Amino acid sequence: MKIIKQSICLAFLILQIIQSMSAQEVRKISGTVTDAETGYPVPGVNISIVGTQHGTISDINGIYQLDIPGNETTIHISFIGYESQEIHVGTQSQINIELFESSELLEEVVVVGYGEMKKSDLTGSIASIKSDELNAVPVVKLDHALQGAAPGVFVTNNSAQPGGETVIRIRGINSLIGDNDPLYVIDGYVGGDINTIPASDVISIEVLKDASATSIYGARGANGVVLITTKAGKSGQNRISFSSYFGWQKVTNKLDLMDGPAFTRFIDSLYTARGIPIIPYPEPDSMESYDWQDEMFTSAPMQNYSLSASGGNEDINYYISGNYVQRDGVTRNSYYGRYNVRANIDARVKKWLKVGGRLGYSDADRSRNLEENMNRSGTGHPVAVALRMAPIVTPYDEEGNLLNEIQPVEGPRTGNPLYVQEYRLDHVLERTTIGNIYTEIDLLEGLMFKSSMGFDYRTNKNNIYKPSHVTDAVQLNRSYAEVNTWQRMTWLNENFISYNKDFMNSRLMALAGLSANASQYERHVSKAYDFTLDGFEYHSMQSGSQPTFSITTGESAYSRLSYFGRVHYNLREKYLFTFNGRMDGSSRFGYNNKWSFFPSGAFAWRISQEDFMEGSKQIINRLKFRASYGVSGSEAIDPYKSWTLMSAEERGYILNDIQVPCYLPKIMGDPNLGWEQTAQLDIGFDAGFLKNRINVVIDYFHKVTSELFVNAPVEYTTGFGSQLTNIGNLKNEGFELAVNARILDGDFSWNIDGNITHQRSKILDLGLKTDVETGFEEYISGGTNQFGSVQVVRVGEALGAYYGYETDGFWNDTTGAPTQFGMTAKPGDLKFVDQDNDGNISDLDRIVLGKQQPTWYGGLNSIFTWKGIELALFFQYVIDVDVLNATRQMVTNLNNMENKLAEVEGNTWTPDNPDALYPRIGYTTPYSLVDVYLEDGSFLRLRDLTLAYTVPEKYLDKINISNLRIYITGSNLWLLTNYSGYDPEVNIYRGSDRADYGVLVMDNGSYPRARSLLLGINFSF
Amino acid sequence: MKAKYIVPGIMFLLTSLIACEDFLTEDPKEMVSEKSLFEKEETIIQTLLSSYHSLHGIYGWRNFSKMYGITSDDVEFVHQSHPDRQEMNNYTFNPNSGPLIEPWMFSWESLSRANLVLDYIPDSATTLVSQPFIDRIKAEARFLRGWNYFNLVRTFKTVPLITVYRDLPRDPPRADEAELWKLIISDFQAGVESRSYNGNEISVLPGWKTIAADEKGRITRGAAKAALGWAYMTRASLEIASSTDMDSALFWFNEVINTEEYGLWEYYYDAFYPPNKNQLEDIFSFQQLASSSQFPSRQQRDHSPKICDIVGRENWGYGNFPVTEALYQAMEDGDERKERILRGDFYAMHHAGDTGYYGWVTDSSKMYTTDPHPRYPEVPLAYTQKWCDYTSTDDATSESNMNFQLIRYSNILLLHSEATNKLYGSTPDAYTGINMVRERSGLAPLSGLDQMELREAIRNERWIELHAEGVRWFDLMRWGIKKEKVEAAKPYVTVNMDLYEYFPIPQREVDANPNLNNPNW
Repeated sequence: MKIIKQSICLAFLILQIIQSMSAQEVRKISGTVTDAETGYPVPGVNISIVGTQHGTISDINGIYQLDIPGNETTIHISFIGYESQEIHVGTQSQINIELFESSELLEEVVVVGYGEMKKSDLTGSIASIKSDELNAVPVVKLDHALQGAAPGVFVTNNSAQPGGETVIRIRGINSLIGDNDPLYVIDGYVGGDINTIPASDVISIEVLKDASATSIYGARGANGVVLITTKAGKSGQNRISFSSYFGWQKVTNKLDLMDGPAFTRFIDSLYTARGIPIIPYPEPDSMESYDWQDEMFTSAPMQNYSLSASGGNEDINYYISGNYVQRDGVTRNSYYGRYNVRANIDARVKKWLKVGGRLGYSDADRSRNLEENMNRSGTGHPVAVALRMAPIVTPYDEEGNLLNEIQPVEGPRTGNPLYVQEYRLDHVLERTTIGNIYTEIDLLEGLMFKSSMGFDYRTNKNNIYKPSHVTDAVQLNRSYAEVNTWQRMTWLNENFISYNKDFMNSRLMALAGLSANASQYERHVSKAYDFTLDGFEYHSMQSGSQPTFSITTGESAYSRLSYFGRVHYNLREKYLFTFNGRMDGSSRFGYNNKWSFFPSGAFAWRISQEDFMEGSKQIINRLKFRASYGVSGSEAIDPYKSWTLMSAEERGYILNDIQVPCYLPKIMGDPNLGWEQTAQLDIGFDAGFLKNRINVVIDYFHKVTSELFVNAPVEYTTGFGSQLTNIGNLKNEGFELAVNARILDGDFSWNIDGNITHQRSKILDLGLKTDVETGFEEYISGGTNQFGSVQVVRVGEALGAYYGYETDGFWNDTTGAPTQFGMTAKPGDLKFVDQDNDGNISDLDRIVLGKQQPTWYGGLNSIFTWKGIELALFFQYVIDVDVLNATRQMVTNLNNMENKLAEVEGNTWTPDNPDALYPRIGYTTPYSLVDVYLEDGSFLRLRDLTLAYTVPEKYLDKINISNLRIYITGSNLWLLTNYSGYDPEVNIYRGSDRADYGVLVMDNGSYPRARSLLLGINFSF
Repeated sequence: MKAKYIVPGIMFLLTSLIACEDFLTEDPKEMVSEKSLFEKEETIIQTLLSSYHSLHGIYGWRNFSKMYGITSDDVEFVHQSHPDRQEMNNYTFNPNSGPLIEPWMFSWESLSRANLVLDYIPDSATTLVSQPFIDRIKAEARFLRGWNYFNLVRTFKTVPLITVYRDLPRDPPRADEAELWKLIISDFQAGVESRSYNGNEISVLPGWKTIAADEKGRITRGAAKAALGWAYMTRASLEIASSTDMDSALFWFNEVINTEEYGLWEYYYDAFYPPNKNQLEDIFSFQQLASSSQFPSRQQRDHSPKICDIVGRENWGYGNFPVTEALYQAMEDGDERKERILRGDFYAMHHAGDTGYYGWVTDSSKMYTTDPHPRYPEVPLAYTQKWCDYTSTDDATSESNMNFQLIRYSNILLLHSEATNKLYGSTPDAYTGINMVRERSGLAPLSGLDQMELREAIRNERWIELHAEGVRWFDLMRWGIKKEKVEAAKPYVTVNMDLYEYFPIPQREVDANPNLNNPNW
């Protein structure tokens, strides 16, 4: 809190300085903007002072206020769908404005690659999300704001833990082993990180989806491009804005596990099943119960504060902001906290020269005790461990302190997951600075030159300390510290010339430029064991035992060089043509293949502009047909993959009982290694009905990614097993539909924004003779049980096909039964289907059981407003997706003495209960993918419900506040699903390298999603 | 005003200039090119070690036992799990069977890394690299290449012949068998040679007594001699044999025995006692270390019985590979290797005595594990405990410090007896080696046998002395009696074993290389 106070003071100080600088004689005018026909107020109308960049926007009640420099001022009023007007102010101080509907649509402007365009001019598929939508619901990380917001954009949380990774896939997954993340462009800086920017700093996000829009980014555009524009100051609107929210989160959806009596009844029957003539718990009903889930989960606070100052005059505009967000996790020592500061400045130095800069700094600190640690520390995922803890075992000693070790019902003592979380430190500090300065020069009428120089500096530091009194599976009772750091410096220099010219009945926009980009990465990892004092933690690693010290360093660098251009031609406002091209060179590829060209072409026909549509204008007031085709690429791989190189192996061969380092050939290089190429066809319609009360966007897309990176097997006689090379084809196709409807207007209004996407992927060619199996190396229990392959990459199947064993109930009569995994089946065992009829269940009997990419997904936003009161419901849904519920497999294992789901009791196979839910007691389900644990992960979630009140201006004037909004938001209030685990969405685990063949969906003791309730306030003055 | 035209010009020019200076050329700093490693002695050694490093894929873990152990008649796999091991044990394997991959893949990896060294090492001395050093490294690399080919041709009969690292032939076909053996012999031969440096005749490789302490584990002259003898001995059994092969073999065994000062430890177990690594009886070993991340010995874990209930050590043994009933029955009473190695209760003795002391008592009540034989419930399983490592302090993982010994002195003694008996009959010389081995394990020396009887005795002795060490499969192949012996030891093997003479090349490799096939499969 101290830091927050300090930052508020600092922000005020900055603001005072700026205000004193820009003070000059001004006076205020104000008024209301109404629709001339209906008399309703029109919000969002742009009112600017002619000849300057001063201006304002009318508020939700159509009211505006503007500072003007003198009497001889003319104001310009413009708004989409209305005729623009100019009014001489004179001495008036109250000017009410009536707007007349225009025949010519004046449309909003959207950001595109290297420029802006009128929405009506677009030929590509671009989804635009404006700041009011972004800020309607508070999000901790900006990527979360994209969820459900646009069709074709699939956003899912890898983990519900604070700061957990979010996966964003635009129109499917293109690359098998390469990067599938979209390209982020922040204020023109190509290659930023979306999560270093707080949502309150953003004015708009544009998602470029088709080739016409993305191919200006050539080799990096294949996964889609997300353009993020941060706020800029507006002339004459010096203001301070503050927003904050505070709330609590709580896990509400616990798994229904056995209590003490039920558990001990199970243990008794397991003894019987194992043929041991002992009843260990003769009186189960008197057993005590400990609910480990309750011990694991607590309620946790979250909070956010943003303060910004913005404004300017006709020459200089500024936007300065500070932000702090903190979200604690619902388990011990789990948190995410982030500070942000930003300074944006634009200045017109000469009539022909404009300069400016954007500078943002982000400082995040997050714990990583959970998912990420599963396979690293061997502690086992604490949630998974806690779920399996016998409910008759207490985590506390007699004095109420956490025990560091626990004696389970069976097997050796293990670490206490609560104790591990409490005392094992593991957190990551992520610090990012992104800065970008530019110069714009007006050379001639319509001809403009722009040069920009940007940089992105990131450091990442992971600190780990495990004291000796914490027991885990890998380091046992040794103390252990690790400091793992990396830093990356990237710079980008871009220069381009653009030319805009209106002819008689057509318009030409053209640009051409070049771009140079380079990056350098360095890492350093230090490890040590056996510390003399626990108090030093990782801060003084030299206090560890010297022989255990270990250091690794590494570095890599890459560079890119590009030439790009675009021609856009608008013929009579009816026929639009766009051609893009980018020539890209990248250091990452083989010397035979450094350069590639990525072209695209698009055509759009504004049908509603045609004379023959004149008659239907009352119904269809806007209709545009779009078609585009083009190629974009993905470099998607790490540097130096085309080389055959030697790397030092610290853990080399043994001489005289000492492990000495050696040099190993690491990869087999391919000098022809080149780009993955995605060719995309997009056909779409944009339509507006009933005076744009209903807007519809429909798109069909068909993408084929060729030259896929595949680690192809090579003959071992080369000394290598595989070589990264370009083979294979993959297809993604689908439909997108977005609808926006103003159902009710007026005092009581109702607005609906909805979207739906249908998509499928198919592997067309792998270039290999065999399938590629992928799976989870991760430990399921911090012990020894591992899942093998659970997915297959196979020609003809979707990417991310679940691959495992089909079952057909249970064996009742085992005569003639095939051996199952080398064992004779017993009655009550799962009955596996012998697909190849060879009398033996082996890995040849696996089939494709499901798919991990959803067929349908989308979002629905419904907003009701009445006199400043706003009720917004945001729904998100996913249909037809399968999730491997490994958690359920874990807590229904019938042959160990760990806790089980409560539903297991009475639901296990016996000769009298052959149709039970679960096999016989004493049976172990193989640790492979078995269809009974594959569940439908479809869901409909009321992600956010917000009730807000915007205080009318008449009350605010007295206290000099221009805008005040208070709200309450509930998140995850309601979920409709058949999924039996915590949450069908919280399950995606993308861990080891083998998992890179697509996104792997597996619920393996995942961090549950909490329900949260937030109270928030925004105001500005 | 002119500035507005100049600035863009300058900016474009600057960016274009960047483009000129090899902007897109990669300069990896984290990794190095092969060539740069061959300028200094230290990095040359570290590069050569990569060839040794690959051997873990063959001899580390349990790969060797899965490939050659359970397909032989000294150990077996009896559990109802691990279909891949069942396939090997029951001779139902095929080119797709998993255990075939590692010996193939890692032999080639090790071999290719030896070729890398041979391809790049300077021909003659430089200021930083001396001539004796070059000669030694070359001999070592050739030994490793020879050793990998020796394994490959004994396993697959013929394989491609590759002796280069740069400009590698892609999709190479199987080479001529005689050519392959010629390379093996000449590669081993390179290790037994001497050179004259400044007028002193010095062998290119050091002996086991003269090797520097921090080099223990690298190839010695004795290893080259022993391997050379063994290679001649093996080729002598093939159709392509040269008439002098057996004489050559005997010559090199005599060389090992008479000039290299190896010997037998007092007790059989001493040969497997970790502090005795790389000494006296240990001619060539894959080096292992319990505390290393990649190379702890898993022999203890795999071959020891599941006796955790008795000793309290959680993972003492997995009991993966019991010895066969046939081997157990072949042993004479009073044989230390039977009484103590197969039947002994080591643990009781270990804790009864001083902590540093190892030894054994026999306790018939604990002679077998609690596991009954799944196929013959009346037969208890016997496990070899020669790899049990009492020096290990790691209770949790049961990983051991002992090397996996590839050539043990007793192996050479027995080969010597075998070669002598073959060439000259059951002369006193032919008894020397086998009787040394027998007497060490508390058995009476043999005498008065005819040539055939002695041959059988030697074969039997090799079976017992070298059990579970991965030698048996190669012996059976060399003697041409694999089919009968495996059928005798494993009556449950019902397939026609004629097909399973050599191993097929893994299917994965046949898929990747169109010029390879498995004619009989």
